[in-house]
Amino acid sequence: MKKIFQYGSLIVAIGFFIFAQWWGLFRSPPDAQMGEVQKLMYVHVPAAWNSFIAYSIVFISSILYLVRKKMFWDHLAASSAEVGCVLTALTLSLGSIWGRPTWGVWWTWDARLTTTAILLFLYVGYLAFRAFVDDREKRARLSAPLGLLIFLNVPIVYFSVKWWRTLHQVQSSPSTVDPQMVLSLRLNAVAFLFILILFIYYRFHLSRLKEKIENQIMGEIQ
Amino acid sequence: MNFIRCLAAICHKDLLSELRKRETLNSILFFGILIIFLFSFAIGPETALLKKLAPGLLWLVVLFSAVLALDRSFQAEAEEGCLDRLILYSVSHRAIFLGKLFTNFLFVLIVQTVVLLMMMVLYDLDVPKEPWNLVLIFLLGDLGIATLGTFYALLITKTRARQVMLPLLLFPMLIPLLLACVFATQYALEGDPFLQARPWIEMLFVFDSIFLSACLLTAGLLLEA
Repeated sequence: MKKIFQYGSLIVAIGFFIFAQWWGLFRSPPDAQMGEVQKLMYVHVPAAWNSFIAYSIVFISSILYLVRKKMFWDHLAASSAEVGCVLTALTLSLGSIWGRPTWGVWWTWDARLTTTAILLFLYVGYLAFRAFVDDREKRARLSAPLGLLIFLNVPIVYFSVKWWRTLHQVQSSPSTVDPQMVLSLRLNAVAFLFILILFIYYRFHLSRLKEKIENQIMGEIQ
Repeated sequence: MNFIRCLAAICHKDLLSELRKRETLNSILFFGILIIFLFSFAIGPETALLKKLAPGLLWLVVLFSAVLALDRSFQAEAEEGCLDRLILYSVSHRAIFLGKLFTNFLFVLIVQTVVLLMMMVLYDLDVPKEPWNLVLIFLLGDLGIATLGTFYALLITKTRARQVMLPLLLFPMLIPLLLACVFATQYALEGDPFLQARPWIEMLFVFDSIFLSACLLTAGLLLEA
C-alpha cells in the first residue's frame, strides 16, 4: 500500500510537471518584446518562489528542533535546505540565460540577483557545515541555530543590497499580464510545489533510513 | 552580579594570556598592515584612486584580520578539554559567550584603529570630516563582526571543521554589515552634508541588535552541544 502511494505520487507529480511545462511552452503566447525567451519565466519564477518555501521550512523546523529536540525536525531542515539550494541554483542559472538576450549581460549587480546569490552561499555553507559533523545529535544541535540565524539575515541582506542598487524588473501584477501567461505561471508554480514536496520527502526518507542503519550498526557493535 | 563577574573573569583571562603571549594581536596587526601594502601593489600607486577606495579596503582588511583573531578565540579552550570544564562551572553560559565576544570586540577595534591610522599615512587620507560618526560606525560594525564571529568560531570549535570553514560561513552573513559600514565610513570620511549615512547606521544598529539577541538566545545551547 505504501509502495503504491509512493510511486503514485511520483507519477502524478512528474506528470503534472510535464503537463505544466508543455502548457507554458506551447499553449501560452510568446512575449511581445522578448519573444520565446520569456518562456524561461515558467521555470525561473516558480523555482524562485519554491526555494523560498524550502528555506522557510528550514527556518521553521530549526526552531521546532530547538523547542522539541526531536531528530524529525533536523532531518526535515537538512532535506529542505538541500532542495532549496538546488532550486536557487536553478533560478540563478536560468535567470542568467534569460538575462543575456534580454539585458545583454549574463550577470549584473542588481538587488535581487545579488540577494539570491548570497542566499545560495549562505545555504551551501549551512550544508557544508553539516557535512563536517559526524555525530547526528551534535550535528542537529549545532545546525539548528545556524538555520535560524541564516534565515534572519535574508531580509537584512535584501534591504541592504536594495539600497546598494536596483535593476531587476518589478514583479508584474496579474492584471497587466496576458491571462494565458498568468495561468501558465500558476500551473508551473503548483507543479514545482509538487516536485519540491516530493524531493523533500525523498531526501527526508533517505536520511531516516540512514539513521536507522547507523543505529543498527551501533547496536551490533555493542 | 555573578553574571558580570563571570564575564569579566573570562575577559581578564583572555586578555592576560594575550598580554603574556602576544600571539594573536601581533600577528593580526602585522597581517592588516601587510594587506594595506598588498592592495596598493594590486591597484597601483595612484593616491587619488587609493583614497577613493579606502573605505572599502579598510573594512576588507578588518574582516580578513578579524577572521584570524576569531579563529584562535576558542583555540586555547579547545585543547585539553578546557571548554568542557568551563561549561561545567555553575555560571551562566551567556556570560561565557559574552566574555569571549567582548575580547574579540576589543581585538577587532584595535586592529580597525591601527589600520585606519596606517591608511591615513600610506593612502594620504584627509582627517575624517565626521569623527564622531566614524567612531559610532566603528563601534557598531566591530560589534557586529565580533558577535557573529564569536558565534561561528564557537560553532567551528565544536566540530572537526577547521580554518577554511570560518570565513566560508562568516563572510556571506556579514555582507549587509560590510555594505552598511563601507558606505557609512565613506560619508564619515568625506563629509556628509545630506545625512546620507543615517540609514546605513540605522541598518547597522538593527543588524547588531537582531544578531546579538539571536546569538545570546542560542549561545547556551551551542556551548552544551
